[in-house]
Amino acid sequence: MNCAVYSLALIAVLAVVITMFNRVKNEMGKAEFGLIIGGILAALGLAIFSFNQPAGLFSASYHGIFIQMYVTPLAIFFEILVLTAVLMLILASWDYTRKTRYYGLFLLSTMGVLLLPFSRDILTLYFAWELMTVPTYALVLFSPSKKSVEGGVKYLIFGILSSALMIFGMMLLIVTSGHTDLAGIGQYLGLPTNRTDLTFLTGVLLVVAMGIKIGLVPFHMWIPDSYQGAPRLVAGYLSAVTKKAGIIALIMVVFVAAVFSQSQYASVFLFLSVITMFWGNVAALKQKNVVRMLAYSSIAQMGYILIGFSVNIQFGLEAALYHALTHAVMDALAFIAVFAIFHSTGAYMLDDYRGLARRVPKTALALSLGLFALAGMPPLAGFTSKLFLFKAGLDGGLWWLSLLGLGFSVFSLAYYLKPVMAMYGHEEGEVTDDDVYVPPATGIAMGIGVILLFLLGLYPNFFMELIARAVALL
Amino acid sequence: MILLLSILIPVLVGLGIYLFGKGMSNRLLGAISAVSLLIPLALLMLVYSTDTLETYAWITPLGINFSLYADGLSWPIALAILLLGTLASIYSIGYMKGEHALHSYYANLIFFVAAMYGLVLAADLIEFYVFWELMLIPSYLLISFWGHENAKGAGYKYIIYTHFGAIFLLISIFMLWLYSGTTNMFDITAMLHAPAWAFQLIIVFMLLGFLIKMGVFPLHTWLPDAHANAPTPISVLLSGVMVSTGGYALMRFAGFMLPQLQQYAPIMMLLGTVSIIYGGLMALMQTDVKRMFAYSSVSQMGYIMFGAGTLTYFGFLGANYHIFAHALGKGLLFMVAGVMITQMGTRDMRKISGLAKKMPVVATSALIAVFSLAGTPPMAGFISEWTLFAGGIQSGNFLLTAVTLVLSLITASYMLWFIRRVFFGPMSEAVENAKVPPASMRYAIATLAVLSILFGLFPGFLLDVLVPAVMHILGIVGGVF
Repeated sequence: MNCAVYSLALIAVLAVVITMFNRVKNEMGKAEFGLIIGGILAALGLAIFSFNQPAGLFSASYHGIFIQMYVTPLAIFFEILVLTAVLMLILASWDYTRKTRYYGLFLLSTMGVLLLPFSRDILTLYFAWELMTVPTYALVLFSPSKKSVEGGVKYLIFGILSSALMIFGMMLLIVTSGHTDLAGIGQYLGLPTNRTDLTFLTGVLLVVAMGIKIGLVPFHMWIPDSYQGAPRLVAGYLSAVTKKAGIIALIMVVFVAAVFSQSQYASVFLFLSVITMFWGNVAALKQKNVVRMLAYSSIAQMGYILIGFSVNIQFGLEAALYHALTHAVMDALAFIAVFAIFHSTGAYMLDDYRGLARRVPKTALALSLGLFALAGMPPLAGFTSKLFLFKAGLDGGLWWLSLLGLGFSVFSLAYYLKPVMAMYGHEEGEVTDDDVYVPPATGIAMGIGVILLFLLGLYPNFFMELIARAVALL
Repeated sequence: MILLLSILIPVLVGLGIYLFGKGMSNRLLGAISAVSLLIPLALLMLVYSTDTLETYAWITPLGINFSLYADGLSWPIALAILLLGTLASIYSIGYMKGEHALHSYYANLIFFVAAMYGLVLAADLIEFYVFWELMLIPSYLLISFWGHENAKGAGYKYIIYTHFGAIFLLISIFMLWLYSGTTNMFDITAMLHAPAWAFQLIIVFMLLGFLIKMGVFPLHTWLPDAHANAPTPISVLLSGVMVSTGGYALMRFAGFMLPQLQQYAPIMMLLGTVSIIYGGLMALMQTDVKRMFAYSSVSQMGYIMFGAGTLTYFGFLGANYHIFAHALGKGLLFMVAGVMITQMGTRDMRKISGLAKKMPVVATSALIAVFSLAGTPPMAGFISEWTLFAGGIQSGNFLLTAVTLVLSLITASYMLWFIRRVFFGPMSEAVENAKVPPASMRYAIATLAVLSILFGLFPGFLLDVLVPAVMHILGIVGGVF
């Protein structure tokens, strides 16, 4: 038995317990918070421990109800990715709110994300997708204001649109193939004679549905407003975690269910990759609000991931998954640092960041490292994953796409540097060296993030091994 | 293990200083920093003239190893980096007194030195690129956070320019990788099979990357701003060794594609000459002492470019030796500029004269550095420049060499003018009121002066390791002629 399933079960139990606990007590104490962190750590430990265990089908029946979960290396990898980012974000959340329902909703959504890669069936996939999405509608509006309501409503509308398109696409898949499991659909569509124009349309519907969640241009319009309106840590969760869930769902639909033929999918992703990199980077340049800048940057980063999809070789997918992992860590760190800065100094516009390096030195350094990593500066995580992506582009024969990606990475430094420059810029006499108090839980979360930045950048072998197996056993 | 340790020790100490050094005094931090760079220096001495190679598995999915290689080409420069790093730490004790967030300053200084040190030892292209960019982050923070008035803009210019250059370098590294299938510097020469047009691209991109880092004309515009606005101990490192790593890299990479590079030799030499003249003339026009030395670096990088560009035995020898001599000389001169800033509160040379009477040791040392950089025997700079120009003759470009040799008088003229303006004549008001600089600053300056003479009198110490390495890189078997 693979203990990755237990780690999922653990989070599920934790989510239910905390949600029910909301009835008893509105505010959480240290003990309950410790329980959550302990639970996540244990789940993470189980997931890492299951690294070398054989993959396979987990099934159980209870009074005739049959549960099936496919434990694949991909699922284990994704569990580690999600739990790491969630651990950092929930740690920092302690300084944002102590409301029990926040944690309940957070964990319910996490549970949905974790369920996603285990499900190899269209119905469970959709179930996991909604379980992931619905709690976030409430989380986005957790501390409502005029501005955040606009973002929240946008998020809700686009979320529903995405779900509707997804259902429509899935229904078409079931009707045309007669299967509900992804592998069966893949087998059916593997025969070229079974492929029609309708299949392509189905594929496009599903890509748009997931593209909305991932934030691919041109389906990205909700992202900047929703991120800006949402609590910073929730925005971090949307950016670091649910986007990656979209990527995993995309991999399932495209590579397991094979909704596109070889030639179709390369051109679809090529187009999306180029346009996403372009617009994400260009739009980020003129942002004055740091969260909006990060929102556009995280759109652009998805464009890099699609390079790995476009090249149509195994290493491309490996590189894409590794970038998904590093981006989860980098973005979680960046959003936590932005939250910490807002929480302790109230700064949120670029202009407010002036001289912050003297007031919150460690947070400023953490944010700078996160931004440098996003820009792909060695030896941080973003460099190594981009190196893999660009190498995959070369190996796959799309050298110009690698070159384009490289060009956009250089370009992106121009906006990633803005907050760094503001914080570290030499300001004679304007600021004092007062050490503003940054709460310890947030500090620990940032510490974890910074360590991971270096670890993932300097030692990618551990995860690349897991990813190689995940892609081989897709 | 020795080379790996010599990188890890400073990195770990730097980390320790950053995390736990908050309450420590400036004196203690500087001492820790100096010691953490002296230990690698001692370790480096252990591998003198042994051609040590250490290889560790690194990014296995791409077959990239973490290799450290100390041969005759990298050893002298590694030595210069650690020497200057140690002395800059000691110098900082006096210079940075009373500055803010000193633990962070010293940690960044150590990381900066360690990155440069790792760069020259790197024996893998991707590893090389990692160190190349790694120099950027700490030095950027050092310039913009602890720098002078215009540091913010200068830092931005610095990071954008050099990152831009680094990307060209990365493209050329990717192409080398694509056409040879390896990133190992030892295997590339034999395994590189590329079409002619690809070689042209590789060479042009590679040169762009290196020339921007070196600040050779016309890609120098970031250099005077960054060097002039950085805190002086960092200017010492930036100008003394960081820019020269471009010259070192040029010589290292030249070995991969010597036949194809041959047609670029006159262009590289010409760029060197133009840089010598332009930097020299601009230096003559400056009144700000740090800007003058920054332009002088543009000019001095011209010498290194000229030597490396000859692609000859003597040219390489001279260029490499000049990197060392320039590190000692320019490091010293920037330290003297730092004395002016801390003791007289000005960087304007017009306000300072007659300093020799007040600070004889500083004046003598500065004179030695100036003579060394102007190529006067028996200083280190004489050995290097003499060899450099011999390389020019060896390459067959007599006219260009002769012109450059004559025009290098500009170097002597602005250097001597600086000496005359600042150290001689009647004492100015600023000098009257100045105090003698703290011991840490004086000792750092005097040490560099002594080293400048020693490496001029005993060039064999470095040449013994340099000669076989250069012969190996240029594929010379048997005699030189």
